[in-house]
Amino acid sequence: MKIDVQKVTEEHFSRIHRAALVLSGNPWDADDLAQETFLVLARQAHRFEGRSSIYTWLYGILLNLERRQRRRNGTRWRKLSILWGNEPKNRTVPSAETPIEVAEWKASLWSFVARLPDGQRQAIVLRFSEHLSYDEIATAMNCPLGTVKSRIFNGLTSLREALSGLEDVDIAQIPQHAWEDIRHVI
Amino acid sequence: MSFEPRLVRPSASDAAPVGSALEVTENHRAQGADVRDGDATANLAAANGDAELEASFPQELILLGKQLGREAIRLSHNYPAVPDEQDFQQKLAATQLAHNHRPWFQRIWFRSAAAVMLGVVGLSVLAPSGSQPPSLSTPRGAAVSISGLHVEPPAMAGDSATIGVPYIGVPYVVPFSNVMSSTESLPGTTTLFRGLSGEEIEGLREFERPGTRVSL
Repeated sequence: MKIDVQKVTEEHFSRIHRAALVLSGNPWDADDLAQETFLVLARQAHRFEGRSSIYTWLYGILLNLERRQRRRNGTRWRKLSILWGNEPKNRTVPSAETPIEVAEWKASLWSFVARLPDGQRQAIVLRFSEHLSYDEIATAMNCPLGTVKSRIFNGLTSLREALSGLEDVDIAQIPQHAWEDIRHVI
Repeated sequence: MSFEPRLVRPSASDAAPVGSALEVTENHRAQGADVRDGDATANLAAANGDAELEASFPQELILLGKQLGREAIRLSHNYPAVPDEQDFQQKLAATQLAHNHRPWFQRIWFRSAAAVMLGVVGLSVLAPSGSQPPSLSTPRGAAVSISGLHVEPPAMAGDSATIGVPYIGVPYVVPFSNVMSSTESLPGTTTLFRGLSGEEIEGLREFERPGTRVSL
């Protein structure tokens, strides 16, 4: 199936970028991930068979790239922690360039989502940020429909429990606007 | 500031399924996002089925999902996609150029490698069983016991000399450098060796006869 890479890029760049932003938590990584997704498209366009929509396919590419990047960041972080001789407490949050740029992401519920296992995290992003249907998520993640449902349910349940645990943290550390959002759902 | 948990009662708009097409489309459009009609149509078709799937979810999880959606919209508005058009176009052009002008060996490399791998796997699976003794390769240091094998002269524990073994008329030399057991290596007895290479063990396998057995 012939794909016009330029046209597909123009049509879908912003939505892929949005997903990358929510997944990675900072605009620089999001830019890189989104761009790399479309470069993969340019290289692999001949492999698209048209059995799913093009954006579902793009989301699949993005998820793979993001998982790889996260693993790479994790490895780097572990090496640094060994060098420094102390294990960081919250290692699961993706790397950030500076605290200022990602403050909003960190203050949002998505920073809690980032601590979930890969499968749950990505399914929740595709569902609630990208509003894909369950069928589309199953296609993008290459897993059965029931798995998608359980990942979303378990992910949301874990998220709800994590937010409930906020009673024990110092609330003064949470920005006011973020606290309003969080309290809204508790 | 004190913590006061508060469960927000779902409003009429919250009654719609999480991520329903109309709600999503309108939300995104209201925020100025680039949502096309095609997306809305596809989402609309899927929304009914998804609502059924999420019917078993507790209401607070549905509210949580809605909140995530709202925050995603806010984030994407504050950090809109502003691709470095020039940089991207250059990379895209370079990628496509490189892809279209790959050397012939790169074009066939993956397919050839896959074909060779499949061939090897296929042959190993299809090869008649029993035509060759199973490999006894083992890391150096693993113990091998041989029972019923006639070894001359008898190998004793602590032997380090090379021992010649008659093999189809040809003295086959196996360097038994580390005999563990104190049992004489005579027919009907068991000798335990250690420190043999895979090749040496394969050599020992050649001595298997009815009544002899080589095992790891």
